[in-house]
Amino acid sequence: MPSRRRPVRARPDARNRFVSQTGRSLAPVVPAVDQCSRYARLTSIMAALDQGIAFVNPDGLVLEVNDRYLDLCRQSRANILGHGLASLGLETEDYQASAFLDLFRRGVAHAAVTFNQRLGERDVTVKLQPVREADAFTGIIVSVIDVTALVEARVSVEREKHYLEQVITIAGAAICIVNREDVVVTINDEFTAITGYDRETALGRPRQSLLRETPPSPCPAAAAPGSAVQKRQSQILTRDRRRLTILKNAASILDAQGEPSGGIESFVDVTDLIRARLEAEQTSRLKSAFLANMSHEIRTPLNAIMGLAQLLNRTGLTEDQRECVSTMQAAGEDLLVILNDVLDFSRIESGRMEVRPASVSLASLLETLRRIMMPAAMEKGLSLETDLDPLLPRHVQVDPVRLKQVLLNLLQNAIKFTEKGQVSLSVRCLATPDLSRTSLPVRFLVRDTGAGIPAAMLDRIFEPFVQVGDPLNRPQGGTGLGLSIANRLVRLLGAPALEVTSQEGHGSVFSFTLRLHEPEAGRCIPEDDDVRPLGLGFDGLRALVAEDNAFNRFLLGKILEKIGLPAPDNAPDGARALEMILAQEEAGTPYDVVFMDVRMPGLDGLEVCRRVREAHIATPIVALTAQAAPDDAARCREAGMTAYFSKPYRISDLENVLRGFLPPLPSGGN
Amino acid sequence: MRESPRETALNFLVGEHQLPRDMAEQTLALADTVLRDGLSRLKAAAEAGDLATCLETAHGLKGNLLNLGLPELAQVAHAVVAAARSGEAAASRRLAAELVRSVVPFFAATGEESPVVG
Repeated sequence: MPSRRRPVRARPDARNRFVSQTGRSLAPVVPAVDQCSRYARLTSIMAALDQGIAFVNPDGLVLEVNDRYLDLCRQSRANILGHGLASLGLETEDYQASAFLDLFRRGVAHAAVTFNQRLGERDVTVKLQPVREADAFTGIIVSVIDVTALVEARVSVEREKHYLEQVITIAGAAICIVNREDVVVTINDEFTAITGYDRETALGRPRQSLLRETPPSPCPAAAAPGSAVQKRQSQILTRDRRRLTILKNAASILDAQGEPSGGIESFVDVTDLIRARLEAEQTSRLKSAFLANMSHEIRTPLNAIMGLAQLLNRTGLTEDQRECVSTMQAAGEDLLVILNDVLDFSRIESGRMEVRPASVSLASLLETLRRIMMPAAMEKGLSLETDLDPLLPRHVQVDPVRLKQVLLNLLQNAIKFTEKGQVSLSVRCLATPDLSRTSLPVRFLVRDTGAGIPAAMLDRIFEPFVQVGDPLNRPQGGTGLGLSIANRLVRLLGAPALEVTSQEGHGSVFSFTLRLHEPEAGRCIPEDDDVRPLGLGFDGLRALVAEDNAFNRFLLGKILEKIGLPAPDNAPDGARALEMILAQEEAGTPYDVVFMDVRMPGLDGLEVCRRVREAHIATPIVALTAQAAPDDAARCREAGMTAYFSKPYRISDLENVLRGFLPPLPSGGN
Repeated sequence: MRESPRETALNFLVGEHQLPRDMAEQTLALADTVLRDGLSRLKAAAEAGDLATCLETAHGLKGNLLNLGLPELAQVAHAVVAAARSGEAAASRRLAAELVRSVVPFFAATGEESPVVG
């Protein structure tokens, strides 16, 4: 470390030139005129320089200093000129100019010294250049360059870099940055955690040979500037030879000119996720197959039992025999309800229960429910009342099938568990309708005067398989799934939950609130207004039966005629069906309904339906199939089918479906 | 006395579908043709080991039998569908033969000999 030396003041000589204490002149001996001229030039040059310049003699006295230096250190000339080296502001913790001066003076150092420091408010690069004349040290030239802008830029870059490093380090994904040659230049810890390659083994290696990605991906730097982030799934080989599935994003990195200077990839290991998804899908498929099989294997013999019981009832039976057969039929129907409950519950649990909103007349829905439930209520001597808030709009948008299913379940339960008194269904509007409202809170309440539910059971009443009463003595039967299904269905319809209040011995109230919209203008198809007798009004419906099997086609045609439709058109295969639907649409006389067999040679029913929907034809298409698996219904819906039922065709099913396609009744036309 | 499959089908068409008796008879006559044709094709496909045709034909027969109110026979057709779908040629052949045997009584009352019998 150079030692410090106390600066010594210089004194001017007789010609007003500064001389050292040894009396040596600091300028070479030249003719006076030339000297003056040169001195003037040098003075001008020094003044014009953008560098701060000073000259210090071997004794440490400042003999020259230009204006720029004075600007930089914010000092006056008088405070510096003739003063010691310390006046130049070059004595800092890290560098002391006086120490270097001492080294130069003692001949220990000869080469120029450069260092950076703060000078006043600026960052400067200082250069101390020793001056030697005739091999004797005559002083140092101090030059100072203002590098504040550069330092600030570098600090800014460092800050950005630090920020980026932090982001890269804490990112939840592996990050790999490559140059234009696709060579790895930066990775983060997550990259090491996933691939096993640390910085030492990864940096400087070609990306593709490092990760062995399949299928190989192009260098991210090769992506066109401004193109979207490329997302892909691929496989890589880790350092310990494990093959992982990754999901990655890749993009090019652009330089200041907008040209790719490299590329960046970020990826996450989705191997376990993919495996879990595949396992879940496999489980779901098995469950679906099991349910489809169960549905089929139970329904087919059950239908046989019920059909045979129905036929048996028409033969000349004694009263006792008739009662036996009726009991058999009732048991079969109960079994069918249980089967449907289990299938519904499974469908909801697996997220495959769809909600299909349509325009619904609440008045008609209540009337339908009243008509359906009245016989059961009357059988038990109960009164059944329905009450609709007059403030409610005539039509609302809601899934009529699911809403009806929930309300039927609640009414059936209410009647089942009520021995005397009444059961009522009320629909209340909880806000005043006005044009500013987009939806209305509508509360549905089913009340009974039955046995009520014990307080201890209230919290569990919506859990699957939970039933009220002694489990060994349940005259009401059932699966214990009904309320659980209803609770899940009201949530699917948009209600927070199905609610219940009950008092043992005083009855129960089940309720839920839906936010319902009015249908858009022009879409108020009063499908649920239809309280006319079944079969009435079908004479205006033009139907097409697309079915390759001549017997099924003929039979369906006859049934349709029987319930009042004109003889339908027939298509023996999918291609012909498509042709006929398109032709009728083009002629402006579209069919009112198309019955479509799902399995037909060539174009099957699903494909025909897809093409019809692609042609933006909204004609209702009813799928016909010999199967009854939940997947079939889903595939039909996905293809755009309007409704679905399985063989054998039943008049009541056909009528129910067709009622939805009837034109609206004239006003007051009930 | 046990009802014959044909009587069952007739009762089904009249009772369930409310078709007049003459129309039900007409429908049954068409069913005769369609079922004979289907069974004949099924038998040939099963014996030739053509499982795809076997599946298609058995599926069609299943729908016909359901629409005739004969779910027990439809079950046998479904078993053929299941066997053909699983690629079990021997089982398909055996079940197809069983279906043919099971449906024969349906034709018995027509007085015509089924082309697929024997």
